[in-house]
Amino acid sequence: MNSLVDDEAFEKTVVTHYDTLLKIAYQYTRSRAEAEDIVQDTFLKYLKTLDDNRGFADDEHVKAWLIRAAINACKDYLKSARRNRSVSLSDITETDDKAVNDGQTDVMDAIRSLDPKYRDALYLHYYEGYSIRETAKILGKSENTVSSRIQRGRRKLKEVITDEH
Amino acid sequence: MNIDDYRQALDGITATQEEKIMAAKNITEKYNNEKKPRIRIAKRTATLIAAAAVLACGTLTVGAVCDWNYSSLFNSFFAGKTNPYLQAGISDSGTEMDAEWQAQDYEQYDFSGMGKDINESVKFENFTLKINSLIADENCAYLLYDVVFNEGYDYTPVGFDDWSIIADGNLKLDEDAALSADSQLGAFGEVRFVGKNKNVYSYCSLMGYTYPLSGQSIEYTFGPLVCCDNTVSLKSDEPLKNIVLPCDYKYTVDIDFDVNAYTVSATANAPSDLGNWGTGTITAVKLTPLMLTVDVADYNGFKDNFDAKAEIAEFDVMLSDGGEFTALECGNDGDINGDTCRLTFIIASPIDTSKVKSVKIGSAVIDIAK
Repeated sequence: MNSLVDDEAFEKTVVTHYDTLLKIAYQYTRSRAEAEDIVQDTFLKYLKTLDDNRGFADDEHVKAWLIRAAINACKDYLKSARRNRSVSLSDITETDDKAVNDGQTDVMDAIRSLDPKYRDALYLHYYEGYSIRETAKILGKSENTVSSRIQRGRRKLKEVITDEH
Repeated sequence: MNIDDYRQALDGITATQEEKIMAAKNITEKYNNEKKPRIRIAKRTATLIAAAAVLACGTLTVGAVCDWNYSSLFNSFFAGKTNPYLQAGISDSGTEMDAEWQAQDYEQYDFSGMGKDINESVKFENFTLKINSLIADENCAYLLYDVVFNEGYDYTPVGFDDWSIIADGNLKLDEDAALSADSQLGAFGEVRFVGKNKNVYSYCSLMGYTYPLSGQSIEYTFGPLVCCDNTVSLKSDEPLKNIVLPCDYKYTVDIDFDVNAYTVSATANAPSDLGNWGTGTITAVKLTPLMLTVDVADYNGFKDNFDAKAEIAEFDVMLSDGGEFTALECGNDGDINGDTCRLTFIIASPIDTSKVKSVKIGSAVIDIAK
């Protein structure tokens, strides 16, 4: 079958942004396999978007769009997980050890315990290096809201770590 | 723990190059398998382009011809152009929004009485700021304006993003009102890039206020235009070579129309599971064409509770004709009276409040019909 996709360009996009989306999804799902499913769904949506002739100005625009789409897919995941919850709380809270180094498990648990609205803002600002304005644009929130979420997120992260030790 | 610990924890979540390439192949294969003829898309895309063209036309001609009034301008603005991410087909609730259908199905809203044309222009060194129109209800104001770059000015430098403008809108309250308002001025605000047509860049300032707007004035402050360098990695230590065009201008708009004309409200005593936002008892709901505000007593929205975080709350507005839509959170969650918290939500497109039957907030349904 002839491919309907520019394979080379798409592969480059996947290679470039895969880790970013995986990190976002993993913070929501606690499961590497489910995080990978979310990443796949996000890239599928991206292909459909290209197919609808919706253009992207540049690679930063693509990245911002993918991040936004991944966060939305994660929220959908939470909704469906909540509705269809059939596993015990211990199953949910247990982390996928393969995804992180042993030494960082506590930090990952603390990150995951944050409300998603804080987690997303922290991740985009401190890990991806986006400015407050850029983070606000990606999340569709005001700069004031994002600043406040970053401050509260940092505070909560410290509280969780301190409580655990 | 410091930021380095945070980064190191996330550094471990990676895929190998081989895994990524394999994933790309799998996704491509899945996509090709799913691909079906989509004749409908062409029509819908054309509709979006038409809507964009109408918007551009409207913003270009206002002030010069005056065939366009604020109602026409805002109808064009709301018809699928309210949020750049809606254009990408994704809503805040994570569902497929399909902006083209929004544009196609958008019902012209009668903004009569809730706005005004402004047509104010002020020249700067490289551009002219044209303030076009304003609409407002009791707590929310939208201001449309254009930046028109001078002929001969290179407004599309290579390696730079689109222009952003720094703008804010503050209520001008007299001293007594300001004191009584206390912290209730807590507002949200953002500047949306609406679109561009050659040298005309259009923006909308969306400002929300807890303090009622009736009879007040909003002082808009326009700051510099910024064009961001996109050639340098955001994580690089290399400084960005952003272009900044100075702009320092204030314009005051009087809210001298009836902002309450379309407001409906209800009091309640309804315990509700607010999902991602926590739990509480809803005591009051107010709906305007542009915004939903909900007062919640005994609010525990900031408590770390996995169950509460695991679900995204639904804030649906249900219409008499059976239709319904979801309002978008705007992140304003301050105390208004002791332990009562006011949650505010913007509505993507203006709503005819006379057609609203009820609102569903978390697990509670509140009748709100007039």
